[in-house]
Amino acid sequence: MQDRIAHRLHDFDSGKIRQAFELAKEIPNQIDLSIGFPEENTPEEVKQAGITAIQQNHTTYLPTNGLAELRQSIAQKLAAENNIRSSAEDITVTPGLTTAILLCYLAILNPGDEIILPQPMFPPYYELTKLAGAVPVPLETFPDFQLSAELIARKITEKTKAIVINSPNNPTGAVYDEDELRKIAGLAKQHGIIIISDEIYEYFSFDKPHFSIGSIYEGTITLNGFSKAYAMTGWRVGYICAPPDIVEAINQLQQYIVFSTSSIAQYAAVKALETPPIYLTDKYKQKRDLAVSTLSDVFPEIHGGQGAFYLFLKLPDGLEDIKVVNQLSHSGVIVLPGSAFCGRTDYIRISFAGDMDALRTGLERLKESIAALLRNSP
Amino acid sequence: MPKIAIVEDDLAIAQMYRMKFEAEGYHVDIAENGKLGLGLCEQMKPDLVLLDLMMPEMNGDEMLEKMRATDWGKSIKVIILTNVGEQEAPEKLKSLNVRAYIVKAEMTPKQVAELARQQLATA
Repeated sequence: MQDRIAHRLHDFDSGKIRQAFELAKEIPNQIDLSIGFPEENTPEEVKQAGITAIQQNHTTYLPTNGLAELRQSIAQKLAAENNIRSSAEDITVTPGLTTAILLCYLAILNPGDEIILPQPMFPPYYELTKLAGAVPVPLETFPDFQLSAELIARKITEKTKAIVINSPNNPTGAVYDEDELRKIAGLAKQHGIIIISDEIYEYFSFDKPHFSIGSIYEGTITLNGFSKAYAMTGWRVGYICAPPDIVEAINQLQQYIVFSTSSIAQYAAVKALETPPIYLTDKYKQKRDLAVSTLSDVFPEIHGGQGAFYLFLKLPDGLEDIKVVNQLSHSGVIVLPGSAFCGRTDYIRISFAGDMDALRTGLERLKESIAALLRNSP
Repeated sequence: MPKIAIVEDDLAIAQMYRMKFEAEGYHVDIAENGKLGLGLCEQMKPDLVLLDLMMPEMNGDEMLEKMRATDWGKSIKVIILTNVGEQEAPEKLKSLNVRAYIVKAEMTPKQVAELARQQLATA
């Protein structure tokens, strides 16, 4: 039976994230500290725009690269907020950011090309590299999760085609300094390396301003979307801003892979860009601060967490991520094992995106579970 | 309707399993320690006991020992659900007819529930 499935999937691994979803389904009244979406709902005016799009029969295919009005609005947003100069033709709209990653990879990576992937990282970056026939080059950022030009330089070879930058970062919450990003841009320019900059958490930066590397380096592919900023994870709408040759290649791929992102979602996204993002700085910063202060005695060295809505926590010596995940699940709390995001088993990822009261309870149970495991570890 | 007694001092864990088993159609009651658990089991005569070991007032192994010494409790099915590794478990458990020994960190709630279902289905 194995022969029914293509060989390219033999070592394709999406299991650990799926296991967490499966675990969550089995637990009644759970406190989910694994979630990757804000607690808010899609803004009412955005929902209404989607409803109106349906009522006005905007339910047919749109151009492969997206609704012109939306691309124009995205270009204006990138200029105003990110200092990225682009036109509507440099933008292509995708069904979410994960599809955008695949499209970028297929457009730029040849078999054998190397792509530098800072670790820990959002799992699709690694797995889709292999799917594209390219070579993932992990770059460890432990323990502080900060990326530097110096670290990257050590991994560059003549086969290096691209590097992925994700700031604010999933799963670590790290936000990279503008100074360091400028150095990285210089290094990339020197070696002719493409930068793929995933900025989906741009509004979730608590301690320093978000900086878009695409504002200073023209060899940047900027990825973003509406899921986090407008609580639109289920609408599946993201976008790519890239140099013209790359956008054209991606559009060719989209023609046969996607054809056209949901028209309803795109009309809603136009409205979203006329609306303030749902992100409320103080609210998520308070949740981050609560998580850090509650956990600091159990996890004495908490790094990252300057942005996004995650903490990547180093477990006390001797504890293994899967065992902590299991232990917590008995008290109804879901977290993700660190090994879903890197090759190490001594971390877990928690999300503080959810409701404050549930977060408070979940954090206390996390502390109790760690204490129970430590009491009973050999 | 099969009856399950959960004897567990961590109420978050006990409540999670209560909801899970009730959703599957079982009748569930909870006791917070071995002393209360013994009374509950005598009154309830459950088909299965999910029993923690380390608890205040009376540990799970002590409760089980007392239960096995009674006519009503000598053949009730018992699954241990604990943080204590099996090698560190009290020696006397071996002679107290435990159906399964589960370390919480080694299994998910789904696996625990499956094991409970299997035990309830067997003689």
